[in-house]
Amino acid sequence: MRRLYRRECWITLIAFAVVTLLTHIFPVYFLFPAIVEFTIFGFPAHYLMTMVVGWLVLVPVYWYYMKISEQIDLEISEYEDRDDEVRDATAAAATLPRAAEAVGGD
Amino acid sequence: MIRHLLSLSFALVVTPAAALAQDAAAQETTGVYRFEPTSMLSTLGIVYTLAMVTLFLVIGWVAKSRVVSSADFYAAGRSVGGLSNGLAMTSNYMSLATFLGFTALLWSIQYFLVAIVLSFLGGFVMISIAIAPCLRRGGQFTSMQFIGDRFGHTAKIIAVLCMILLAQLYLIGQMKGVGNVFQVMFNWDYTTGLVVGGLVVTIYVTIGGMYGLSYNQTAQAIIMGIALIVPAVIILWKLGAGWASFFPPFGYGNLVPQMIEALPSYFDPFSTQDGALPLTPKFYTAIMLSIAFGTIGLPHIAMRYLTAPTVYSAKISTLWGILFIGLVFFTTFAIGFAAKLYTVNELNANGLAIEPSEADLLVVIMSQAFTPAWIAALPVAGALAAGMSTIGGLLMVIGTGIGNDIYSTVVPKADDRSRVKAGYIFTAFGGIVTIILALNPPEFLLTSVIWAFVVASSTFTPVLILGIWWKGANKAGAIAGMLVGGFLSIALWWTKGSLLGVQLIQLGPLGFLVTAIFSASAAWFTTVVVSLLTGGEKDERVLREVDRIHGWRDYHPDRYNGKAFPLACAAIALALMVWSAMPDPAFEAAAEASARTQLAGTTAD
Repeated sequence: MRRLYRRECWITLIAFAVVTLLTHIFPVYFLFPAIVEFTIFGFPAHYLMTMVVGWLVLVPVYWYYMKISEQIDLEISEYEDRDDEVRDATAAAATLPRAAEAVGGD
Repeated sequence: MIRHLLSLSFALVVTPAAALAQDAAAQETTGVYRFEPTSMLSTLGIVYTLAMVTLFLVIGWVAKSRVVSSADFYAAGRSVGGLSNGLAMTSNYMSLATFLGFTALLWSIQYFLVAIVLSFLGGFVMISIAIAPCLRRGGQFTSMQFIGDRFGHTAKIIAVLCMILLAQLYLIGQMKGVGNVFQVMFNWDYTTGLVVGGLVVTIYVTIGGMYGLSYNQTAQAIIMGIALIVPAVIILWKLGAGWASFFPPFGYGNLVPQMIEALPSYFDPFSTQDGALPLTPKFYTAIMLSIAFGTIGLPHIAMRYLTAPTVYSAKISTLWGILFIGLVFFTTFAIGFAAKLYTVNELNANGLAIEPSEADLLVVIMSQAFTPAWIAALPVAGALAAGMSTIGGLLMVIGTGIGNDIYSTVVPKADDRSRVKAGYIFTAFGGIVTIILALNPPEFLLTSVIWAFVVASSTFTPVLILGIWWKGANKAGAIAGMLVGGFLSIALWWTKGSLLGVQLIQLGPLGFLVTAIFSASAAWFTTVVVSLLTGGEKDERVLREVDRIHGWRDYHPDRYNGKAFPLACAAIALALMVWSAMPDPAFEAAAEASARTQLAGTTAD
């Protein structure tokens, strides 16, 4: 349970941070102003990078997050199902001796 | 008057008028290119608009038959599929400001718009990561309802009041923009245009509820896409962009050398054309906190996720939304680029400048200049679809906020039928009140649409994220956080950044846009500190609910109950508040440059 809970929190945190970075690449040009000098496919590198990273790269990254988070949701659901079964079995085991006693008593 | 359309976006302070005036001066222009729609363009525009409006009303009417329960009216029966919802999310988020205002804004702040626009997209995705899955599992219709379930009735009422404030900030500008489009394109009287446009949306949202809204928003996204992309392809092709013009977002690489030759500063990331923005990390952080974190808190955006059948389906919608929103954003940039190039190379070279007050019409101006009338009229319909889709989303959230969230609090024994009736009544009421307000709106409302983002960022976002991810957040913390954030987001805008004689924030150009660096941070800090000081959440029913919205059926007190997350949030918020209050010379220099260009613009006018 704890492992799943921690995974859920970490995946959410990492996805949030990655999306923030991808869609806010502008400060990178303050750190590496030389990027501005290059061109890619005719566009200034920083201009194209901003659009490609903030949009086209975001698509597969989000798709990957979607798959992982769905997997975690499924695992949580399966864990809860198993937990329910264990609880039911425990309850049944606790009820059986009393039922046997009651039957014997009759 | 069309310049008011720009106020729908966030940049009246950086007026295109000023930039255009500079442009004109630089090129020593002698005449003014004044946009006049041809009679064919106006006629076809009216035909398209009438056809479109009829379609919206028919969709609303057809959807009416599907509204049986409150879940149908408020959440479309949780049945909107991935692709359809993705399209609806796109048109819900893309407003008249995106459709027309972005090209005008690109004119003035150039590359920087590309940088900050991605904040909108980031915020849109962050909703689906941080809050939407949990709200969807919780079974609520709105984020206000979640706040009520998590923090109690008082918090819910405050949240609904905040929602009404920010929805009106957004709505009145959109309504006025729709009225202006009718006025300029069809020579209708403004009031007639406003009332017709406003009533159409109010009727189809009211009768069809979320079903009608969802189907209409899907249709509106398709209309917007066609209305932008088809003219953009033709414009770029005719300007000589080659085969790349068939994908307008990246279709103008061939034309870049021409632009650099004509206007070397166009792609410069560290300056705007008029030098009126302090392009510093602090300024950018402040804008990010307003736009991205504001988007997370906007209730009408979050509401769309709650119409999905499952959490996974909502995420698929988001994936489609990313694709379509990017396509619309970057196609408007392509048209903005083409407009700038055409103006500098053709108009300015021939001694003409575009009339400054018409910068918002660049999409239509370019379409009329380069495409046949039957295509040039498409952006008119597209602009109206963009305005109406956002108005519809906001009316729906008002109707749900009052008709469901408040009504069910005031009348707790109300049955499902009564809640549907309340939805009809309050959605219509919201629409009519907004039309009346937009007839003669207060000037400050027109210039502060983006203020809605600051209010959302300072009220909803901290409470939603902390309420979902930290069990310790309690009623006292949430109420205090929303009140502090709401108060500061209004007061700091009003007092130009100072409170009790202390300059807490340097507003400068785009002033209200940067307010969130202090107001939102204060809301985060207050929510955490007050919750900790008042002993955290004790009610086990609420604590169990936090586990449940994450998918857990059993309860474990240790989950989502650590101190590291809230303390880190509070520490970051405190650091941001201190940073905000520290003087920054770049802001003062930019404010002076802004004042100079505004003066130039005024002189030119």
